[in-house]
Amino acid sequence: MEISQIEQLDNSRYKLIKWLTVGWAAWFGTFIMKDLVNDRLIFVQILIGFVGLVGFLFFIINLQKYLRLASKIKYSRLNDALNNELHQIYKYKSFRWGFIVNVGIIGAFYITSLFYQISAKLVCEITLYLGVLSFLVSGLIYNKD
Amino acid sequence: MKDLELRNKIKIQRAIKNITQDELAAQIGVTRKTINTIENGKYVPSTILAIKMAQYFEIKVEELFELVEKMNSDH
Repeated sequence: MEISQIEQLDNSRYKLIKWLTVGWAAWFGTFIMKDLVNDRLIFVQILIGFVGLVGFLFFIINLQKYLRLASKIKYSRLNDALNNELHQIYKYKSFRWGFIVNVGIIGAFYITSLFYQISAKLVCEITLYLGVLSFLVSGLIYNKD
Repeated sequence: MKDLELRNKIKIQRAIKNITQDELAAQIGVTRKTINTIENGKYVPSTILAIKMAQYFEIKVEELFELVEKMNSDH
């Protein structure tokens, strides 16, 4: 009983993070893209808006499920098993990837800014988007079976 | 300095006890992924986890884990 419970919770957590990543990639990606696409391309704007909305719903629903699962196991005796040392190391490594990517993007934007003028809003959006995405994706890669 | 690697006998001990990775994970209080990565040598466990495993198998830590010289591929 307990065996499958740990395994089931671990699998559920992995699936939630996977869909959370897909939701974030689609929602925030299209959010950035919307500003870059010409306003006159109405069909493209509608398509981007639709994908963004679906991504946003995916993101919100899975974030809520993930937080509910995390709070459910927080006070459970299974908490230590699920958040064991390997999980902590993978989390640390994923954060490290997020940091490396963010520093790389900021460096690239800095060099670009020497030659072109870039909107501060766009820089913040892309840095946030890729930083979170690289953290989530590397977490999925590390935790893959 | 010699190049060393940690080898383990978890698979053998599991076979002796006739338990799966899943069952061992539940006994030790970790996930199956953790047991799998240790068993395959991808992850070196903490001292606490190594002792827990040795205690479960009722053997010494040195019997479960051993440091061996890495085989050099250019020889």
